[in-house]
Amino acid sequence: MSETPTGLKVFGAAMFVAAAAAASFFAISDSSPKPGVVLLFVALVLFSELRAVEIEHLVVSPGWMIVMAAIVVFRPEGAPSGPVIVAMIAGIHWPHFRARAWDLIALNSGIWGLAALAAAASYSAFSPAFVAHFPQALLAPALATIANVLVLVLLLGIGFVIRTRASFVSIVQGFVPMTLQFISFALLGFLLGRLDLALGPAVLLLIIVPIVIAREMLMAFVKVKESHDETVQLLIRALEQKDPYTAGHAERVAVYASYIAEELDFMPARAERLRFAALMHDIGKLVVPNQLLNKPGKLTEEEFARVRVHEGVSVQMLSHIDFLRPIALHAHSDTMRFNPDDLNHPIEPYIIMVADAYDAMTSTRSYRKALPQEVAFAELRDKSGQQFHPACAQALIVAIQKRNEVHGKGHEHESHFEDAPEVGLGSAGLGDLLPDEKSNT
Amino acid sequence: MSQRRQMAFLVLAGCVAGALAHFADPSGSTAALVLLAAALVLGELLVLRLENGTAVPLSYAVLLVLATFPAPRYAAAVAGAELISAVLRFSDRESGWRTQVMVERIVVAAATIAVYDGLRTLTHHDETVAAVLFSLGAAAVSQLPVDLAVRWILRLRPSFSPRTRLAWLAIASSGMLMAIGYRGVDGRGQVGLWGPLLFSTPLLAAWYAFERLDSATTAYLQTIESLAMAPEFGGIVPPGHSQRVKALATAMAASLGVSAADTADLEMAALLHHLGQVTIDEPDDLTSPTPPSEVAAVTSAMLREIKPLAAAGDIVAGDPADPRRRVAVQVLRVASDYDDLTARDGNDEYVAIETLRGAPGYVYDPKVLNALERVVGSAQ
Repeated sequence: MSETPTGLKVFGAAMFVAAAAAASFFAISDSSPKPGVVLLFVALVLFSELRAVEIEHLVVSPGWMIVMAAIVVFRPEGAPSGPVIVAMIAGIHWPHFRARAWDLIALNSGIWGLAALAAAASYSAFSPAFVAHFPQALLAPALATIANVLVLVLLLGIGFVIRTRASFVSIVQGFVPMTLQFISFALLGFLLGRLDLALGPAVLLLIIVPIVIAREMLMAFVKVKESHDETVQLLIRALEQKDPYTAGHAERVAVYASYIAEELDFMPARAERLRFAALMHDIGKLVVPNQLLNKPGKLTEEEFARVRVHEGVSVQMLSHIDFLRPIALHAHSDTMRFNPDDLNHPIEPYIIMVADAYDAMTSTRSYRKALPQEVAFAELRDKSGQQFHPACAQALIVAIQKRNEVHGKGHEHESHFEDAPEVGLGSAGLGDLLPDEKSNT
Repeated sequence: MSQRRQMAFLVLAGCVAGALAHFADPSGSTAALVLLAAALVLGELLVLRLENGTAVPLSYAVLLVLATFPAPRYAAAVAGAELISAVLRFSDRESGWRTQVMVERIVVAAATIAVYDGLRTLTHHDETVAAVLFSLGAAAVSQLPVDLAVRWILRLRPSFSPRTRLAWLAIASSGMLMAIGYRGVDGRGQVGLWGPLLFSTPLLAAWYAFERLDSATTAYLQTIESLAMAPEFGGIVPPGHSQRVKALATAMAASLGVSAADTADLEMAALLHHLGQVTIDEPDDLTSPTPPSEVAAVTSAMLREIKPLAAAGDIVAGDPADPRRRVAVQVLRVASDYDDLTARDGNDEYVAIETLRGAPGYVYDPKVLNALERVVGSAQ
């Protein structure tokens, strides 16, 4: 865990003290919440929050639902310190707890407590007019959620500004999608609170069950995804055992493809699919004999045909995987050229083709040394619109320049292939695009 | 019609039908009944997928809400919803399957109302939270054994795995909450259709999680299967070898009572047991192929480096000293050799089994050979 700036530590401590002071003040001045009810809510928070799941940067967290239920339940008692205490527990991000990051725990817990206080005040102010009938009754929790989110965004935003020195507006924008999740959880929490008041706490347990099960399944999903990721490593290692010259090739193609996807504003799920396709694009090479993959110099016509078989095999093997099939079926890189008239062709195979070609040019192969980056860029620009999809080629160049990365001659990660000729012939690696090589094969 | 369109159409049609019902019966609960029947059909489309390819529909949760209506109206709503579901399923699969599913759903629906009404009568329609929750809970719990029994009778692959139990638990608890929100207890806590509407969201979250898990698992297994094809495309083993060995090994493991976790590892081992061969340099002299022990050593070394496949690597390595994997190792060896004898060498089943039995005693475990004979015998 990175070191927390002193300013943030002070701010976090101030938030925590403010929330704790507010809870104590209301407990003394109004009435203190019933300990049994507070304990029940704390138990619910712990039960549902301890195993929080984060997928695709979205934290699925029902904590706010339980805080909202607590606001509804404690209101008739006139004890606003109840929801503040519950929120201070719900605000704890448990990975921080495991990392013993007490400063961050104090920050989050304090901010959640203060936000809940604002929400409870809003709910008290508006609820008497609205509770009588549905759906008007839902206005009160919606307003409380807005109060909660406003305070949360303001205080967390200040915290982020202290920590990252980013602009406040950009931080606020990041919170927008979270608000929707908050409102839907607030409505549920409100309804739960109402049912708890009317029928007792048993109903609270009934809603926790499907939420916990959803979490269990999401965790199983994350685990399967990890297994899947690791299994792709099996393929990559097998390929590298066959052809040491391509060490790191699949990963680099995946990285370049992700650069292009980012430039083209891909959604996360689509970018993920592209990443897998890029990692696996050479799967067909598994069926090419090692001697041919590693042969220095020119291949005979018969050998070349045998190497080329791997592209058809790649398509067949990738088509077996449902989520890659739409990409695989269009990937015939031996015949594939950019065709502006073909509107049904997905862009992914073109992306992989550009990424593959760029890596092939900027890394050393058995038949020639790596080319300088400028030569590779020039080749991408030259063949743009004929061989390469212009948008993909352009996106890769822009993305690499943006990152100030240099690949190619003199900048390779592995430089242990000293015996490769400066310029040679052969086509075992795909994407070797020197014009004279193409004409010779 | 795609599933999304079907659902959009259903929501729209349900709202229109609900509005019409409201005009026809402004003071009664017919509109609610119609909307809940539409929700029942929606729940038939949204299912929690299980490992063995079967599923539990979310409609079972809606049944609990409907059970709070009088029995004739419940029956009408269920019958209408099942009819529409049957039409929607029409394009799906063969008619035998459709009929079986319909029978399954109707029996579960009948059991749900029978248990709920029976217990309400037994508790003298007592309007306390405990009595209502008890009746709803018992009706929800009764759905599982009834469904399993129907599946067993109809040979619809009943499942009682941990994931199945979680699916049932999610549906039962959500259904109880949806029902109690709808009807309230003794006039308290009654929020009408808002109850089923809002309290279905955690269940929908669970559905989403089940869907993600299912598609990730499918992608994972398909990736393994496509890797398994490499030796076949390379002409090293006959086409379909890995899939046939997997099917045979799974059936033999079931016959030998191997645990589910070990069977999963065995399946991976069966699919990938030749993979290492594609990384070995082809000998110039094709009459002297790479010895099987070397293939096993290379493959198992590769698999052991990948955490989720390490156990499969142990099975492929075939180390008889590991007592836990002894049966799995034997099953893989027998299944693979049997497939070589039949698919590659063209022997019939009888000759193949006799050849395996004729091998020196330490090669094949007689118990495993008996399992092979049972599996091959029952397939014929």
